[in-house]
Amino acid sequence: MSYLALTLILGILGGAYLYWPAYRLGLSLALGLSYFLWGVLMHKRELHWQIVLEYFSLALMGASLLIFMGLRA
Amino acid sequence: MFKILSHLFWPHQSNNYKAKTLHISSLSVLMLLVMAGQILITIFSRSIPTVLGIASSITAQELVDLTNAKRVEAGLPALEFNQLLAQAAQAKAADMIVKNYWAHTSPDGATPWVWFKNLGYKYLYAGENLARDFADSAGVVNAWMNSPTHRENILSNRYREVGIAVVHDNFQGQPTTLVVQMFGTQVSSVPVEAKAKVGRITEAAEAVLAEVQVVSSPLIDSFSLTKAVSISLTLVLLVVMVIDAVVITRKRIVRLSGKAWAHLVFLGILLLVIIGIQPGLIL
Repeated sequence: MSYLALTLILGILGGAYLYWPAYRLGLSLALGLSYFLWGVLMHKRELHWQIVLEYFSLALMGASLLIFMGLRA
Repeated sequence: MFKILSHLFWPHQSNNYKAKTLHISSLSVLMLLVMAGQILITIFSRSIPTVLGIASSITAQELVDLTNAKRVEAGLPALEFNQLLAQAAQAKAADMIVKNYWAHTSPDGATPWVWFKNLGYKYLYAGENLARDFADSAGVVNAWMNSPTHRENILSNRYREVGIAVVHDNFQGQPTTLVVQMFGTQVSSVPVEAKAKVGRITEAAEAVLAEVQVVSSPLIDSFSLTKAVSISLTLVLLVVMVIDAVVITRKRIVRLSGKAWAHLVFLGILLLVIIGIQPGLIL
């Protein structure tokens, strides 16, 4: 269920990113932030800084790639 | 060599059962490399635009033809190319570049209709479509046709004439191809001499097109380069993540880590979005 929610949230934000080019910066940040928050919430019982950093670094990388793509597009 | 590759991409004892590529330190290094790469692309695309820049093959003639093709498909008469509208479109594009804005109305409140009036185009009906950063004319017209308001302009039976400016310049910090399309129908009192001849691009517009074709043909397109690097990086991470998940599950190794399936979903969606992104903005 939690994976379905993640897929839906990221899918909707990804679709919106493609459909509304004018809002790409905000949607990139929202996509990265959503993933990071989902990771933190899913691990709240066993939350270690390594796990927080893992989600943070992946979310930051994803958001950065989308922001750079948006700027070049 | 095999040991290094194995250390980077395969989970085992040497990398604490997590491929080194997926370690936070490696991800940070990749992030820094991506950022440094983007800074270099920006610097090179400004300093040597003929080598690294944006590739655009948009021409006003193609835009007029494609616009008219869409109108004919819809059973509407083709629009006549008008020199005054083309000049108004060029003035609008120049104003956007000089005043650094991307909007129908300028920061000092000038509406699109100001450009019509400044050139003496007395309109009964008028309209404006804007586009930027597209690679070709078909991409521009398709994007307009997919937007209800722009489509309405293209397929409006109120308009009789069209003028288009295609301008390549540094805009909002990067090399950009701006397209301004202006539609209009002149009031009957306008003298016939003011109208351009039907069905051909004027010399002024041709001059702009020639300039665009020379400037905007770099060896490497910065958008394509960024897209290729982004896809490669995401794909590598995705493959390493799959290998990592399979090996860890098979060997039943317990470790402190995020959820592999979540990472796969995130990277998968990221990859799809990056593949799907096309250059260009319309307004």
